[in-house]
Amino acid sequence: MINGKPNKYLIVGSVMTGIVLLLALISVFWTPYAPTKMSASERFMHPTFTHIFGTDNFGRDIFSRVMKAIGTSFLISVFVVTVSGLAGVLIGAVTGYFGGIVDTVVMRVVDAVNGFPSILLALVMISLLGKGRWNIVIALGIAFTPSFVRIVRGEFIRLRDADYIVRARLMGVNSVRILFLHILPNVFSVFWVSVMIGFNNAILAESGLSYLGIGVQAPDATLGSMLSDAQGYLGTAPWYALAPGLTIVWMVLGAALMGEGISRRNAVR
Amino acid sequence: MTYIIKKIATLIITLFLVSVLAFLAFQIIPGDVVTSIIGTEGTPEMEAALREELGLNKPPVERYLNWAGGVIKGDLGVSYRYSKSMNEMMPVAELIGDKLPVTLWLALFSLLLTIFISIPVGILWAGTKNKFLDGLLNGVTQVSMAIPAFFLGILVTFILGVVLKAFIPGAYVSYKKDFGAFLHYMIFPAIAIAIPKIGMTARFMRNSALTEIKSDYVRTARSKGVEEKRILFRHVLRNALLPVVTFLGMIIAEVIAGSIVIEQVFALPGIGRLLISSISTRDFPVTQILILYITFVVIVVYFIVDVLYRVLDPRIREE
Repeated sequence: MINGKPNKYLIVGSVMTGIVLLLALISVFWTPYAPTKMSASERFMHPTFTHIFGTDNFGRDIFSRVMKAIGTSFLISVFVVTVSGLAGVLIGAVTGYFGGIVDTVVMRVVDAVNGFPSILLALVMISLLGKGRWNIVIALGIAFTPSFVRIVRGEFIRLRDADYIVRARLMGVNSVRILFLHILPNVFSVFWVSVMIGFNNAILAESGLSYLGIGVQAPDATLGSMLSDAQGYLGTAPWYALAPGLTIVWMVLGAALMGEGISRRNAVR
Repeated sequence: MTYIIKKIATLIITLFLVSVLAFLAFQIIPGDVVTSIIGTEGTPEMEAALREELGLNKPPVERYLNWAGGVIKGDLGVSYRYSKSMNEMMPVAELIGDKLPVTLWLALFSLLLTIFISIPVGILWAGTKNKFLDGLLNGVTQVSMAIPAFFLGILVTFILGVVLKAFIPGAYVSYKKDFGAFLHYMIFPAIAIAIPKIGMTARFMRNSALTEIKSDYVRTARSKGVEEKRILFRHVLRNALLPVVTFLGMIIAEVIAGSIVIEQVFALPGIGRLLISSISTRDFPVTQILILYITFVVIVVYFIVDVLYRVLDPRIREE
């Protein structure tokens, strides 16, 4: 992921994502105001230098809340991508390399699930597991696994008959070593692109579920739940809805540009 | 012919497997339904009676058959949360009945908007030599797909409702009361659902048309002196539409998923809102049926699209 010439997609995407990540990290130690501090005299203040995103219906500083919320969304999305990415690599590697009946069955399931909108799958999972942030990680993790399986499996099928793999097999290298030391590193360039796409979908799905009120529960601020609160004040305080909404768009565009940049660089190589 | 039979057989098997999964999934949920309805103050006799009434003391296979039979006959069981009156339970079928038209109209509107805007835009986009227009469309469609559905709904509410005052946000009118006002209100959530779908489909249409434009028959038509517009709309459009038909299957599935979220934004009493509230209140019979129905619709849509694709393209039919 490190080598190769960066292109403008990758640079712009990384900068956009970097800013968001930085804000999330800073929010762990410091926010301009306490995110839960209410102030009756400062309700619905439009954006100014003291409150750069304005204040909400309780007089809370929206920028501080957005910073905290980014952290929550980021963390959940990273967990989701880690869970589904790891599961995808394991299942995709084994089915792609060995093939056979297990592969056929797994692919049938993966194809069936892939045709389904991921928000619907997540809803099914949440209805079984219940609400809450860890249940979201599990629900979305399971819902996103099939797309990783598909990508990783395709790459393993492409590489399993490559000369260097056939040679390694003839030399008696065991399968686990071939799978994870010989093939896996060559899958990473393609894998990173789907990680970016998966990360995007995770942000969208998490904020969607939180918006619907079945995601992360109050008092934790998330971008989705802030939007849902802000919706009632569109006429009086439109900035309240714009701040979390545009932050989501910013995060999604940043990750999408990074993904585009990585896949363009792969194409050059 | 054998193709159709094979396809229908696969469809039936898939529907059956999905129904088994939907049934089983809701069996493993922790917690006892009976205590959750009656509360902790119920006597053992009351609990036993309710268990009997809900058919919970029968073996799983029998319960599945009863449930699946009910689904086919339209008897969908009773809701755990809603009730008709003090002593009468609310049948799920009735609960779904008046919400179905809302979601159907919403999905239909968004689909029509998507088709009638994206296809002309896509084909004109493929035909244009204007660099600026090409860049603009590229940017606009890209951004339209990056905005999450619920935020788009809020933006539509803000721009069309609050700023331009084209409708009053939240003032939904029931289709039973005033059908015209109902349709007027439904246009706005439909726009919110359609925007990213239009972006996606227009891009797909453009790429499909671009591959067609490179083909021999277009060159022949050009050298015959056929007008460029005619080439696009008469020659290219027909061929370029074929792949789009399969793509639309996916779009329909996405429109259904999109309406779940958008119904919440625009406070529409449709299937999606019922689904979300049933998940929040753990009203499992309702959740189970809704998920089963939505899944069925998606599967049947994919089936129809598959068959349609074959009917429309004689080259595949003869293989």
